[in-house]
Amino acid sequence: MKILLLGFLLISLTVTFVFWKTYGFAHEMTPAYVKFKASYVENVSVGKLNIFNRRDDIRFYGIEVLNEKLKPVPFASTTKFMEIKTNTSKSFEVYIRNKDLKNKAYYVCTISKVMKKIDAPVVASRICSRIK
Amino acid sequence: MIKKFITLGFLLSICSGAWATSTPITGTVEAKCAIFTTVNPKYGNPNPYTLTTLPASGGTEAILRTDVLAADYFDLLITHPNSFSSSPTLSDSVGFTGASVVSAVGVSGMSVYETNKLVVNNTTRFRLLLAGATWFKVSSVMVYGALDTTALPAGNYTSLITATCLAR
Repeated sequence: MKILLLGFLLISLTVTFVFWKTYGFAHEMTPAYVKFKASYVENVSVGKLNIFNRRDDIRFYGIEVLNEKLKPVPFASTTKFMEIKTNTSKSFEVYIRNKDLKNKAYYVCTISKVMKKIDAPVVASRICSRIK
Repeated sequence: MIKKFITLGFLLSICSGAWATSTPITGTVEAKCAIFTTVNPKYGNPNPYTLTTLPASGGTEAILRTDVLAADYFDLLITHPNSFSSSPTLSDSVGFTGASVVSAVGVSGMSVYETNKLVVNNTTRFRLLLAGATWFKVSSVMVYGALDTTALPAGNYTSLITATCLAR
């Protein structure tokens, strides 16, 4: 009986540890394929995305629009950097000129902005949705 | 008698209203990629001119996990550092090396990610062919000085590993 209880306790602790280890630090963005539609500005289209921050070491994210070779493409948004508290999501809009949308723009990305740390390589996460 | 019927009817109408009440829970499953930092990396300093994440030298290698909800929708690009994002002033040459490998898989078929990976300069590209979780290990080694004997100046050193989930 004691062995059974001990085994149960061990399994519970392992599951809790794995859950805690793998569930604390994620960066998500949807949709994977973003559609742009006409905006209120002439010759400019707008796309709407949603970001979810589950990283407790990151609070700031930047927005990027990139071409196929991951080089920057001009865009506008209400903000290029967003503060997103841990375990919260935020919707944002990206405005791109129609000529860039046709010829250059390929991805809309969000990238985590890391603070300076001591003696540590830091992991920056970037998620890129494809423009359709 | 009529009053009783009216009261009964009134009570029944309230009850039927209560039965009709429902609270829908809605959700959407869509193709998405999430990047998890499972283990944060750390540099060890085994000798005066080296910083390394190798555990044998006192460092910690980064462990990243990606979760994808749809098969073959994403590529993962991992870039290990080739410079410091912040450091004391360095007057000698800085040589960076590193590697990104698949360290664990959620589905057995994901083991091909390692054999199919594409390495260009300091970026490794993995095609995420299957839905599920995959773990990646990233290492970084920095050697200071052309003759490998120059001591690193004291101070704080920070470099950046970038993990990019790219919709195909």
